[in-house]
Amino acid sequence: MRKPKRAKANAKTNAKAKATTKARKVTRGKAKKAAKKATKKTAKKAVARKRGVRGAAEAAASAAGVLLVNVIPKSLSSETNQDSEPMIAVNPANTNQIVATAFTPDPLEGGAAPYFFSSDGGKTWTLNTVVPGGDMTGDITVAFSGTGPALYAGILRRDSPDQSTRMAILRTVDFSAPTPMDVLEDRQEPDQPFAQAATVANGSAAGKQRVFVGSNDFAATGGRTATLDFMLDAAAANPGLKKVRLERRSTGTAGQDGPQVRTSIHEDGTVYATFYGWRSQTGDFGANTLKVNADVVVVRDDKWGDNQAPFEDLKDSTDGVVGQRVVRNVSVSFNQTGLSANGQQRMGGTLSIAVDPRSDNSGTVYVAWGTDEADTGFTIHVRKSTDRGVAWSAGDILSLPHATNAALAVNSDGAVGLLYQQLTGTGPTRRWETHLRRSANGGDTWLDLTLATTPAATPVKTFDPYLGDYDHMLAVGRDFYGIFSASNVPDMAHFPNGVAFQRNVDFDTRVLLDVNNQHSIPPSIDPFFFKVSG
Amino acid sequence: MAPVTKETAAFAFRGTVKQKGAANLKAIADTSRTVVVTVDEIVRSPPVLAGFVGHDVTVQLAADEEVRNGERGVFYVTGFVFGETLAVQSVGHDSVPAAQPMVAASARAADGDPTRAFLQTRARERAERAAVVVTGKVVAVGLADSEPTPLTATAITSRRVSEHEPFWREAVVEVQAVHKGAVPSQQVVLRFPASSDVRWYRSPKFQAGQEGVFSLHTDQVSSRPQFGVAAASMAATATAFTALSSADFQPADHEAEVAAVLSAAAATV
Repeated sequence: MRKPKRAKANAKTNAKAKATTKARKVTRGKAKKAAKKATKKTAKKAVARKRGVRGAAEAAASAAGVLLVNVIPKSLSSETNQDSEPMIAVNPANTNQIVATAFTPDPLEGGAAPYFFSSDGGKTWTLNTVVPGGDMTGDITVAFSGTGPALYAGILRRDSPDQSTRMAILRTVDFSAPTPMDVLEDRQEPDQPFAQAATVANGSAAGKQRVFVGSNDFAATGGRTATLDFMLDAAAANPGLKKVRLERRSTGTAGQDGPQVRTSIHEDGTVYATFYGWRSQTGDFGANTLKVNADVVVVRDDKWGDNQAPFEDLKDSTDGVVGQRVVRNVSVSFNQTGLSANGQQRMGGTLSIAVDPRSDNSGTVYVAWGTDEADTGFTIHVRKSTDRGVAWSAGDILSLPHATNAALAVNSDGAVGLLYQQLTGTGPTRRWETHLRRSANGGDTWLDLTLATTPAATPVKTFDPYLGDYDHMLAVGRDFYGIFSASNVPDMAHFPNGVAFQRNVDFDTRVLLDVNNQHSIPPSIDPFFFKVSG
Repeated sequence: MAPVTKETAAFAFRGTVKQKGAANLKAIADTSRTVVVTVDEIVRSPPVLAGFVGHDVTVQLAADEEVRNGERGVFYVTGFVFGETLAVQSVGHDSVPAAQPMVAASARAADGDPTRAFLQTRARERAERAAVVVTGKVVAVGLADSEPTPLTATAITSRRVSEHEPFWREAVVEVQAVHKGAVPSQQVVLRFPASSDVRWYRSPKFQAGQEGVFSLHTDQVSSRPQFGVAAASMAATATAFTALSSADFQPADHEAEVAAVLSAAAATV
């Protein structure tokens, strides 16, 4: 069968991409030859050449260690959804198995929402419509059990009977099965559920799957809404859901905590959680002028939460109350809708926590949070603790202006990574740059890898949030796996370390194409998976 | 959610069974109930799948459904797996002759446009589920009662701040014709979320002067105890409605279409 013209264009583009790789190799080869030649001249010149060669080789190796894939499948080439707010889960027992989520509707508007999954390490993706609660979720996060294909999810269902949010915690024994996920918990009021999971490796509870879902539960009394639901035997017929209110201080005139409640689990049973403890607010949410004053609070449990007073193992070094305040009285804008000045992204803080996964290193933990600063706008701060969250670095180990959607992870070497999205430029030339920073020395120095640099004004948002109220990254072994949402214009200049699309595109003309490779499709926001080798 | 039927399935196509016990999608491991079908013609489809004519798709058959190789039929399906190609879940199929009247009627109503046929199906579903269907014009829009206003210290602790806040508005609709149900007066109040948040963005946002056909559902969502300023003249006991689906509003030139659908539905009761 004759290839359609556009398909030829795709093939040509793929060939071009391969040619580019080949060209890189050729360049490296030439450079090596040049370096060898130089050694025959003066030692001084040879050293200079060699330095240049090493620099080039490192750049090429860096690009070679990056896999970046647009996760929209080929059969959905005609879609134009705003697939924002992505999340990812990787099966640590088989890293070919990956699940990704976003605000993606069931293309056929059935009764179940979808997630994406990959069985080949993220090279190709498939959409599986198995999430109950309507054809699209209001929020969705996912986590593998830790030792197999069982997958857990925390979602906001669309089929809430009233205007309040409806959270469900879900489970499937096989992420790739086309059967609906089981509902383990289903209740009104919690917001922004954030799921993480692990399997106990040793001791009497060995083999038990443990799931932790942070949320901002408006059903909490006294305005102390930061909440953690957890199950100590999540695979059981009756998982025994427990719920703990994490906030122990007054939320003052704010009357609630922030929506982000994030967790990080160490295999020794140490579980950290962090949240914005809102203390006061000024301005008007409806008018998009709300500002919140908050503490960034970290809580900890040393035994998986399996005790009478869960998540009370870390008390503040100043007031003695449960929950160490990493920083106090920070200012955060909480937007109703995204402004063009902020790249269409609504701001509402960003929060992430990651523990060092190495044995005996559960005391090393990193936290990233967002604030509003007079000089740098919405800004990410990163700090570190090496004593189980009691004391924190006096200043930031990393500070990033005009940046949001922080996602921390620590790999098996103890290298810390931070995924974030940063707004650069001004006016119509504003761009969203997605970066991965990595530090192998605990945050003293950082390598910066740009994954994407895309226009911030196009496409025009169809809803809030534009990119998502979060993205996500995790580490398995030495490798970092992550996901972010960005404009899907197939322009190689937008992806300096390369990119692969499954959906039909023409890189030459920089247009998206329909399922028949015939008609152009307008740009939209898509999720992009990445794997960066450690 | 109501189970999907042949009448409500989003994707309906005429196809030819190419191979039983097979799948053309690598994610489908169990092929005991799947067949590969070539799509010959699309009867109705959301826009994203409207270009699948000529493609082979994998169909997972319904529990008691049987087909034979080479069989031609009209398949009614929902989503299943979307990968390098498409796999769908059948809710049933009809022989081509049996389906012909439906196919012809759908094509006639939608001018042969399967995407429009899909939208008509959705509009019909919503109209059938609505308490009241009217043709009318929005004459006023205002804040719903208890809408959050600029905060005072005492008000702050009494309400939550959520990115999923709906920001209810009320549209007063002047009724010009009633197609279904009954309205006690010439005006009805329609509550809608003004929010652009992901939870509410698909709900229609109404503006004064807007005319069309409204499928109105009794408000069980907003929890608003009384009317706001725009609807202040309404009786306190009047029913408030919502229209939260994009299919709950049709432009004025679709009036005859909606009326015909409702008449047909009434005739079958």
